[in-house]
Amino acid sequence: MWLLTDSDREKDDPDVVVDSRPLGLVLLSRSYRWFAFIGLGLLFWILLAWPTPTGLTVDGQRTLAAFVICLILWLTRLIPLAVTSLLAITLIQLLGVMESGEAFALFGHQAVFFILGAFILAAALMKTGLSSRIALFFLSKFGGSPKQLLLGALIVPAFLSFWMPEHAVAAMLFPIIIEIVRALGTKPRKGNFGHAIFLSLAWGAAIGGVGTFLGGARNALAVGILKQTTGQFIGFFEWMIAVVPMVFAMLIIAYFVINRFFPSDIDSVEEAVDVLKARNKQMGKPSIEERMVGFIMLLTVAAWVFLGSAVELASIAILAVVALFVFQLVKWRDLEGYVNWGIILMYGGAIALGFALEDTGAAAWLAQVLITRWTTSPMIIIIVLAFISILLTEGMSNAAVVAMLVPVGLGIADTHGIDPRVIVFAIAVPAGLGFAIPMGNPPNAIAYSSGYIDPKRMLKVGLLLDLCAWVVFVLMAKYYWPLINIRI
Amino acid sequence: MSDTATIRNPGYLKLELMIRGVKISRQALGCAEIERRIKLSKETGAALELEIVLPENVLVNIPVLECLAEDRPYTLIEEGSRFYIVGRDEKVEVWIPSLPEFYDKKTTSGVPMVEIGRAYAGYLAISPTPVCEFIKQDIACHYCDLESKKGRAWTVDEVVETVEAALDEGAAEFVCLNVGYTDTADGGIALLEPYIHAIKKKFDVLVCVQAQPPGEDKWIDATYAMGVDSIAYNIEAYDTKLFSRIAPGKLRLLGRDRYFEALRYAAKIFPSSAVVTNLIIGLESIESTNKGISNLTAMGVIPTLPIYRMGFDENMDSAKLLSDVAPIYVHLQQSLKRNKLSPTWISHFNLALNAIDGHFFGGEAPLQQKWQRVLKSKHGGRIAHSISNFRRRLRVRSVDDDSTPSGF
Repeated sequence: MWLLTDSDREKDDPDVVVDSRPLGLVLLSRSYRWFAFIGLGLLFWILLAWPTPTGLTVDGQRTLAAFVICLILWLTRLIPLAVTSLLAITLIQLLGVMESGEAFALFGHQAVFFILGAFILAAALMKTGLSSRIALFFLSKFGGSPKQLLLGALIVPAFLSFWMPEHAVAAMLFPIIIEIVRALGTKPRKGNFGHAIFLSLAWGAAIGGVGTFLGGARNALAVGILKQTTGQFIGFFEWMIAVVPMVFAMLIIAYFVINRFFPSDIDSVEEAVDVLKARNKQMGKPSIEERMVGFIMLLTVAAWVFLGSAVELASIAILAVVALFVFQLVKWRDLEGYVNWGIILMYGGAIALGFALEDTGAAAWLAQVLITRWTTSPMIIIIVLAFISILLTEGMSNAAVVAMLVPVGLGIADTHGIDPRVIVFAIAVPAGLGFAIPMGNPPNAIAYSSGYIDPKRMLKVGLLLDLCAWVVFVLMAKYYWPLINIRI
Repeated sequence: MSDTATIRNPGYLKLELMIRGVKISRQALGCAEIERRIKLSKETGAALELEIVLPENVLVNIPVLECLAEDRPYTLIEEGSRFYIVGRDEKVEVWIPSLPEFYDKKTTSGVPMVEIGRAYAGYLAISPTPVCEFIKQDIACHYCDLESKKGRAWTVDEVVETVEAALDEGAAEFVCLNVGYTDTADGGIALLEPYIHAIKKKFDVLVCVQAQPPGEDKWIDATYAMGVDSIAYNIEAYDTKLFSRIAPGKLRLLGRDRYFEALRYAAKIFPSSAVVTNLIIGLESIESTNKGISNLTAMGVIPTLPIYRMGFDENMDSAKLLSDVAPIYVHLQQSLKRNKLSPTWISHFNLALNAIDGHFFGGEAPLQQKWQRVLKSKHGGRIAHSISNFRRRLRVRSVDDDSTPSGF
């Protein structure tokens, strides 16, 4: 996860389990990693030793070999995602694809620093309690009926995920929702309301997370790879204009899907309103720190929107972070506890690998072999990429999906004259929309940990929502984007 | 059975001595080893036991101060530097092992090590902290020795120094830690965690723990993960009424069912035969004890059978005990065999009888006896420790391994 929440750090429960399966089975499941590593080593050697295919350069072949190994490692998570990225950057310079200075310099890409700045800002929001205050304020406006409360539980995380990492939003709202369902006397996995409200939390956060660069940092990663490989850029505001209508559409669909499949089985939410009131009361008046952090956040977003074309987004983010420290609103020690620094390494490596794939022509070659050999229709390519992205994100890291598909997609754009920005949207947006599996998205996992969600019901309804997301995305690409000058 | 058969058979003799006790003759009292035990017992208040080695290396322990009483049918005598048990017109040679040297040592902080740890035939028993909710709420278990330890908790360093001293002189091969009940989800095991970590880090030694079942099973996983090789949740009595009488705290704060649930779960988590429970013999009917043995062994739990000592309960008719209880050990041995359990990990060899002793009462001579000897040897102990560690490495997983969501 990106950020560690207070509840994570204060957990006293044992963090181990004992595998009580037969010892032979345990031994096999524990040793499969070594077989996998040996297999990976062999595969790497074969890919390097294989005669270079027509249309691919030697450097391209080497980059592809590194890409395939990293792809498998990202997919299987045999080693942490961030370590795979470090391996990627090391492989491309060891294989002579890039000079070592050039390869390691890509860790300093502006997208990485934008993400770092955004995380620190989010950490400040959480640390001062401002994010909880905002959440409680908005949630308390939705206490009229069970349906209204569900709407609040969907919209509030979506809105917050515009400005904070989506999983941080889910983690922050999680204890509040738990209190609400307990106050309403809802039992885990019994009845519909508990299900519905936790799915609203997870899906609201996930849907909101695609709306800006802040909710899902994979968006910034995709734009970072775009800029590094093609020189083109998508601004903060430009992204929102293109994607936010889809967010609204998906929120409406999710609301109806949730109410259709989980019709409310409670009559009143008075107890929930009491909980929210009590929580609000506990918060007291906003502190100076909260007000200052809120002001800096507003100023930063305004700068991203209005100055984004003139000043680097990363520079604005870093200046905002500096301001936090100038006014002594956070301490470095606080941030160390909240930010997972592995993500920074993960993105640096992914950008470097993406650049190498594009630079050596490997991405274009791969795209030709995998997709454009079968179709040359830009629309079909977009539809297929979006479908693959949604499918993969249910099983693997959202960021890994972006790191894996964007370079290939940009290769396709290059050879078929598709606007590369469309490719970035077609991959990064669906990569955040995994609704069906608890592990498909960080907010899903957090909501699932409540014990209120039945995974079978989640799978059934989530797949429907996946399908809806895919259709909505295609409709947006076909009918809305041309209106804002994004043409396929 | 005749009394003569009783005293010549080491198993029966052990049983007899445990039930009826032994008095020490005046000459034997002059023996340096025995004198030292009595002196240490009186000086430190640490109720030391007289350890006697019977023929066939059968060990029996009897509280040494009890041996000063006159009304015992057996007497320990000394003749020409040799010791004998005399009684029922018979005389059997026995041996009195030396007291461990660490009993005379003190920790760096000045605590006599004998107050911290006691060596019993291969294992070192330590109760690092006297904390117990049962005692606090005045519902302590009968026969609980924790109640008498009302001092402070020993520091990790004090415990480690004691373990080191005991292991260095070969007075112990296992460490057995005992902890009372705390009204928390872990049930008290978390109190032992720093001690277990320190012992495991410093020594290649197997660690057994006697505790109360935690409220949640995940703490049983944690107990194994922290380095415990064998766990004992003592139910003491199988009979429900008796359980409530002798363990009121266990009944009120945990419930009898929780013991069985926890034992059943622990048997899945710990290595085979490493989950143990005490069933005190002589307090309930033989049928009830046998039923308990059958059910517990079917769950994968090994019952150890400490003997009820005469005088603890006036209602107990100990005179007929011997002939009645002997078949229990045979039943235990058969039950273990039927459920493919091996009692080699049991540490209470001399405080209780167990299946290994079953062959003295008509059961088979078990292979476990040999295996036990191997375990207690220096290399055997190391091998057992390595196997135990390897198993733990294989089986214990961090929760994070499973729960990391796919997304950064």
